Amino acid sequence: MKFLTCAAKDLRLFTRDRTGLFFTFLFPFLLIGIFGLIFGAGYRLPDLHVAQEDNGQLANLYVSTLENVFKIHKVENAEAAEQNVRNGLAVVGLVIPENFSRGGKVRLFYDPAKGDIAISMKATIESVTQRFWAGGESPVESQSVVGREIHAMQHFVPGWSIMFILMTAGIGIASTIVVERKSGAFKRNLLAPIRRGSFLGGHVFSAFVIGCLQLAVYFAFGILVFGMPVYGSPLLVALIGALVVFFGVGLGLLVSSFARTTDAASSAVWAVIMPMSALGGLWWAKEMMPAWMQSISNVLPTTHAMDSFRAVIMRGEGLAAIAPSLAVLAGFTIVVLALALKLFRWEE
Amino acid sequence: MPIVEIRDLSKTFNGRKAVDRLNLTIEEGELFGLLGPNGAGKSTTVAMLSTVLQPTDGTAIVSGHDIRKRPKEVREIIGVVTQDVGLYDDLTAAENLAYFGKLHGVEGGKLRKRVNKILDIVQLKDRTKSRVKTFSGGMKHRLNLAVGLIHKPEILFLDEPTAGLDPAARLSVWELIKGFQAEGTTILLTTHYMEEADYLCDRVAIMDQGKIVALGTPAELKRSIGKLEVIEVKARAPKKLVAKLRKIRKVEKAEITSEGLRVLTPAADAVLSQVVKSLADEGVHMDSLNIIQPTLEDVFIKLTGRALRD
Repeated sequence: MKFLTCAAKDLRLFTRDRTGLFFTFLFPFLLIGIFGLIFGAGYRLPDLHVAQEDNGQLANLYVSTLENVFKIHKVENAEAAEQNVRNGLAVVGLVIPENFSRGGKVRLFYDPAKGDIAISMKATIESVTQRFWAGGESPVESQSVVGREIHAMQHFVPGWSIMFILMTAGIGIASTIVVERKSGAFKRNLLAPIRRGSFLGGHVFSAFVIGCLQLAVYFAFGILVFGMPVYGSPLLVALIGALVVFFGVGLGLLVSSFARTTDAASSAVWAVIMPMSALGGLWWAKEMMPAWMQSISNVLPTTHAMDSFRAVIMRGEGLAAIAPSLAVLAGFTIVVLALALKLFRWEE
Repeated sequence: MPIVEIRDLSKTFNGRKAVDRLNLTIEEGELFGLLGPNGAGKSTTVAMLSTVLQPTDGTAIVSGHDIRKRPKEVREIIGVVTQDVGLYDDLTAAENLAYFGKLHGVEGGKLRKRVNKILDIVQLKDRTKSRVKTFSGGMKHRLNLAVGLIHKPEILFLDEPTAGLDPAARLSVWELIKGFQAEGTTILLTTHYMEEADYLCDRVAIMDQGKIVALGTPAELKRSIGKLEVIEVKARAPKKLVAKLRKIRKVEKAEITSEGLRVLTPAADAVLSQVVKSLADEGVHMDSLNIIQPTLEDVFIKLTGRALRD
């Protein structure tokens, strides 16, 4: 029965490997939990913003029919319906015109930047409306509010870029410092006549260079291989990317002050970045998530990074439009960096 | 002329005094040893002198610079070789030396020349472009020493430079250290190997529990314990045997060491038969038994009643 002794030893070692336990149980729970909360209750469509200009019986009946599928949010007029979509408050806005009862066409505004969710809502409305009018020619006049073709890579490239830049910067800087501490190289650096700021500055700058290279390579891949259009300024893309890198670096520095091993450092970074990626809409449009999850999402730096990227890449927005999101992202970065510097362990 | 003056230097960790009001001077060109068991406060002292650890009290003047007020100036003139091999495994030997040389302000052609010379001294010239992760333990230790010397420091702090090395590697490091001193570098060496302190050091301070318990040249220290001889027994001795040996008349001290047993006595011939009988009574099998002159280990045993263990 020696195999039982061997197996018992393996199990004992397994229970003592905190990183192993994290990736075996906690991490899958985390992801299963997030996916379950988002998709478990079925596919949820965002509210449909409706400007009802015809209050006749037929129009009311049409709205009731739509209510079987969507939660309707009534808005004042056609401009509000369009503006809400343009501002990101709605994915689809619908205008029921005054002459609807006499066969007037329904106008539909949609934001293709919202990806599948927008396409799905548009198709559902067209189908419901067609059935309502019992066939015939298409009674819906659809209009994309950005007026440009949306490319799937415009979602994937920024989404995965944010995630991998944060991962690389966070794990990279935390692991390097942990290894330096363990090997004694950390102490040896501090024994040189240099300022502590130079030592940390070196780490931050190298992580920044790597992060910028990542951003350039990922975007070049999207543009050159997949023909992804970038409608806004490349400088703004670089600015958002730089803030993302600094946020990752801050997170890595913070983790390095308490992680004792490289495994612990990478687990900690994974544990923060993965939920932030899922909830921040890096993998799918955040509008697909239940309202309470969207409220969490709205305070995450990843959400603001993604919103900024999408605004610049898909809608060609300028600095003024993304300034609030950039401010949130910069705020997070400053707080994380300040905390990391405060808690950084200079002595063993 | 003193190059290091330690004044009432103290360090307390969570209420425990690791270094307790230490006073000491080290002369220029001297190879000075701090000898003591693990936890005696040697490394803490070096960490404070090299400005990476803030003293709780007191200070030290290193080549005219106060370690508390002028830490950067102190770091410019010292070289430190720590117990850990603080190297980058994925950089080559030359790249490691160049990196730390640059941090110390050595640049350009001067740096290239110094890297070549120092690699020659530590006999790693043929491994200049090899990554450190391919090195043996002894080679890493030699490169570690080289890094401490890359900027030609006035004072070199060597913190347990041979800990964990096999005897051959240890000997080669000793020869290097002798060579550094011959070039005029002042060296402060901490060790818990008494042979190391005895062989290398001009003067030795024996430390225990954060304090200096004896100071002098190795010869002076050995003489200080009086006309004692040592019966050195290589054997696995039980603890109760020590108590029995201490009761023998004319036995001053008896201690278990890492290799066996040491009995300090002014009359080895007279007590030898009783020592052997006590060993036989306890059924202890002896590998060897010698009557030898006292070493620094015996000085430590005499002063503290404990052995310098490995």
